[in-house]
Amino acid sequence: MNISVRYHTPLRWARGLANETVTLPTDASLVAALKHLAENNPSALRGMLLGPEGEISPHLVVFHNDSLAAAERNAVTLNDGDELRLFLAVSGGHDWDRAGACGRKQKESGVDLRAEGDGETRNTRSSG
Amino acid sequence: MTTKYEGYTGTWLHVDLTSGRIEPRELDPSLAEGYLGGNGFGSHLLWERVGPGVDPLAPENILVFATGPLCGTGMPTSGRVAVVAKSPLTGIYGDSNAGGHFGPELKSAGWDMIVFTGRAAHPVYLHIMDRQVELRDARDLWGLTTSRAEEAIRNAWGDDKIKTAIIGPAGEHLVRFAGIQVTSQRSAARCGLGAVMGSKNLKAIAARGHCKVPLADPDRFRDLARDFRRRLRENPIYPAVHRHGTPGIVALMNALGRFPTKNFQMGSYDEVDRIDADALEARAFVRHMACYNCPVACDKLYRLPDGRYAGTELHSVEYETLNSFGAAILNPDLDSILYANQLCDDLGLDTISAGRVISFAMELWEKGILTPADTGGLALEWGDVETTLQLVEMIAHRKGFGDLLADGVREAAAAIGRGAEEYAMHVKGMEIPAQDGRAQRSMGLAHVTSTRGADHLKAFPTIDETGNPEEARRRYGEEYLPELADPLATRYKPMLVKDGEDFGAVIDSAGLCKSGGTFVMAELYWPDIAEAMEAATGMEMTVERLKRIGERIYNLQRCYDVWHGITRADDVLPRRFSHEPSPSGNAKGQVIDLEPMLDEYFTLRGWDVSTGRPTAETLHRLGLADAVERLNLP
Repeated sequence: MNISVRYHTPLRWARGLANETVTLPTDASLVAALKHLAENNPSALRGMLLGPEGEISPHLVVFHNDSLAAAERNAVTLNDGDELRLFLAVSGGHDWDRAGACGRKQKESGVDLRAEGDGETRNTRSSG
Repeated sequence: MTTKYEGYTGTWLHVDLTSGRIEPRELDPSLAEGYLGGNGFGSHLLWERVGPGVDPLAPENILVFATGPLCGTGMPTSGRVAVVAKSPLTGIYGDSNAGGHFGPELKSAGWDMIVFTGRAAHPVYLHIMDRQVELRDARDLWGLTTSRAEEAIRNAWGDDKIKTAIIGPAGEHLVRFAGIQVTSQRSAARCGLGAVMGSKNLKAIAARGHCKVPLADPDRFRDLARDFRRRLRENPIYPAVHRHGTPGIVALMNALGRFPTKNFQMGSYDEVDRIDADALEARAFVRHMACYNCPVACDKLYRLPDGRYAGTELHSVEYETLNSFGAAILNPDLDSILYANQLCDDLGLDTISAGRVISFAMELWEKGILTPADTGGLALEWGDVETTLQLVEMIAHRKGFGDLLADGVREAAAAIGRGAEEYAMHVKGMEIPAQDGRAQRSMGLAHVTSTRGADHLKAFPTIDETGNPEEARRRYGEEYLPELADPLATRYKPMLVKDGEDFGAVIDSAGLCKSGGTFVMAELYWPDIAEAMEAATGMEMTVERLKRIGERIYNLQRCYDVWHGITRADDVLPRRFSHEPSPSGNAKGQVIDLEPMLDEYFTLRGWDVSTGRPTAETLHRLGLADAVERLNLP
């Protein structure tokens, strides 16, 4: 079956084009389609589509036939003629693995990031 | 002079424009402890000094320009200045916040804040050269556009490094959505604070400073700033935000059905490809620009190389303006949007409200509510660029039909009558920016709970905008998923909005940017800011304490609104959002029901669910006991 894929900025830069038609096995899943794109395209695009464990990147926003494919996107099955529109997310997010001294200390000391955390939640001091 | 805390200059300026008297005053440490700076300072002063009987354009209104303890430091994105007054557009609490370089310059001149009162006998501007401060005659500047006035001031002093905050003709003519233009080409645009400046005969502030901001723990602060800077650069959306700035989200918001089109009749624009980030970059991009100490550099310099508006050159073409002068009026002509943007900047108009009053008028024309007899013969057809540009000029100078629109959609609708109110897209008098609660429930709630009228920036919910379950999980916990990250779900959104409002109050008071690392990139959160505040000021700053300060500031702003008669009955969206299903995009068929979310929101806030008033218990907990008495709460 054939599906159409529309890339939006900055995926468009990484892919080097705005639209393409992709041929996939019948009843391929959305996940399979994204993995197909990742495997057959430049690494810059691959990094935007998939996370380090091969999962769909949390920063990828996918519209499947004009509907946002969000929490359920791992279960989406595609049909011939479907359209995927791919965007980078609006919000980034904090990654403890990227956090430096401040973030690591907060993590190690068990600081509760959660908005409704109870008790006296202290920030940590780099001086200890 | 210093306060007991670092991060502040320790002094501020009181300028009585009526008498011309300028007094330096010492910063009260309890003000810093309770309200941090910026919007917090402004909220407290407004509460203390400007009651319900004061007309926003009367000399008794105050006008506050306030920096925060992180402003002008080595902390990335620390270029913000807050402007606070009672708003002539809404009649309630008003603030606006601008980037650029003015805030840091004011602070480096040695001043945490300026508070203006009274009205000058003739136009003046305030000139600040470090500790030398004087009011100068501005009669020869009155009537000039913002860019011309800035040029004239710099020429007069022979110093092109002077940073300014200036009004244009719109502020002089008391247009109720006049903004303040801030070097370099940034705007404190919302709430009509430019009209407050105009009402005081204050054309500009021009500042130049040479001092460094003192820090409590410079080594620790430097390490944090370096770490934050690195994290921002490594954030997954940094490349896109840096390359395009806010226009980068135009296409995505359109796909979500969250890109207001034709005065909110639709949520998607079928010609969006002509005005999105790629189109803008291809047509007019010149180079990247940055506010003070900002590694994100979302600002750009744009120039139109040819065509009817050839030579148009401007910074800061934002998502909002691409909507308000594009999709909102069905105008796919990118060149004319850029020209309209530059025109608004020069005349000193908020591009959001200016575009919204025009789209409102176009819908009234479409519906037959307005006729040539009302408009002075102008035909207000959708997408008519020439008429749009003509209206911008007429509004700024309050000429003809523009005089009616210059009061904003709420007042204009009331004056027009004949059912015009139905099409006035505002909350509490402020025109709704380029979001749609039908497509993002949290944003619909945020528009009505904002303390300054319709606004996306108070709560600025980005976690659920397109679904960011990873960050939602990190911040709030697994138990709130999947609903918390779903833009169309209502569950848990009050928690998201409340947290954003409190966090945003802190960011606006600290002197940091929301479009940088805190909200858009969602990189820096409570613990990061608490640590930075402690390193800068020397205040012992826990996350809990910082949260309480944010909550206090937000509650005080709500108290101010309640003092001015606001109740839950005012926390409403226009009927369109609850009765007209969105016709397109991901939100097709959707309407929004705010009531259940408001119930939950008020409960979380500790406000009375039926009236929307903060309870005495809540205010006592936050150290706002005087509000209990003033609002006559049980």
